Amino acid sequence: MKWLVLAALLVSARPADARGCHERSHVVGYEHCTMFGLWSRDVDQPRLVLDVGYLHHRFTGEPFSLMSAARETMPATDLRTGASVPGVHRLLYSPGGLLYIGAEFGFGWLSRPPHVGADLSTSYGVFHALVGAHVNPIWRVSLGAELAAGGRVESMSECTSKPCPDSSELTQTSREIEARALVDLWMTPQLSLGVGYGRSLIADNDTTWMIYLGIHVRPMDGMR
Amino acid sequence: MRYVAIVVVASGCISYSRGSFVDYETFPGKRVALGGCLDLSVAMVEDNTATGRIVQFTFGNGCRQRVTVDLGSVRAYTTDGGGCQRWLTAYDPNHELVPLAIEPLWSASERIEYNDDNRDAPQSICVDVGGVDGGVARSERWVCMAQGEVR
Repeated sequence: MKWLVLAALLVSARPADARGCHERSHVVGYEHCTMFGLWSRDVDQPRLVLDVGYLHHRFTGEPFSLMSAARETMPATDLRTGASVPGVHRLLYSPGGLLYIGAEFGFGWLSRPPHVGADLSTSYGVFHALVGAHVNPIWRVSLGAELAAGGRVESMSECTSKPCPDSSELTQTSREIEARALVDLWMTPQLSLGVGYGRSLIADNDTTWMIYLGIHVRPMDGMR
Repeated sequence: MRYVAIVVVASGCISYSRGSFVDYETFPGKRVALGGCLDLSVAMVEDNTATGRIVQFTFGNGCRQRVTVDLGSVRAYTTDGGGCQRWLTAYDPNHELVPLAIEPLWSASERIEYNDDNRDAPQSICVDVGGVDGGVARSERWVCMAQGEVR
């Protein structure tokens, strides 16, 4: 949530100031960081978006073995896992119209690691390519749907005693294809707050929740 | 969830309300009713870099539909020490002053410099803002102001 507050502060004054460009004059023709008309979605600017937010992923992990447990023998319910990614980043580009493409990545940890009877240190990473469409049918709300394809990496290490002379580590990778629905609330023409819900197309009981702040180069992405 | 609620409420608070002439702060300068959705105020301001007559246009769309704002339609003149009127032109080296639509219930501002070949000290200016609101028929609406004049 700190990311959301920080991003809000950065964009609250002038968008360009957040990039480190210090404007000496706000008079048309003298501006270096901004330009006339950045309050209108019709202004000629690239449709680029940076989303920063929080992602929570619930999934069933692959069977694994560590020193204290061999999970192959355990029921699948013990492999139910939750991952928290507090700083997921999404970079999107729209060539025009409804469609957009992009990429997202983030790193976090397993907030609900599999129960193995010992302390686990965990990490989690995700990378997705994105393709989607969005519309602005209602005043300050836009709706979107997207497909996310990529993979995740989970890493776990187990210590049976401290200090840890005999640690056991493993890293797993998994492919992911996910369909998502997104809702964005526009707070200003260049700042939106969004939530998203995704469901895997290739795995059961695999869902994602996201909340993010969107910073838009072109007001409202030039959407219609 | 508490933070989400705060942001949602805050986003509602920054909506522009028709006739209020207030968004984050009160619109500076003289208020002009254009007869349409657009509320406009104009003020003559100073700038560290630009040295001509600078007018700040602050406008809010009080309707639930988009409205075209045409600041390029503004005409301006100044009266010199001899009482003669001199027409001024907007400084727009990048040809940015094109009509653009503002979203419903949002507000914004722009600063534009007006000058001519005379580099005298900027003291006063009159602007015709009758064509700024693209939603109403153009008619002459002259507003005159002086440097430092707030109201």
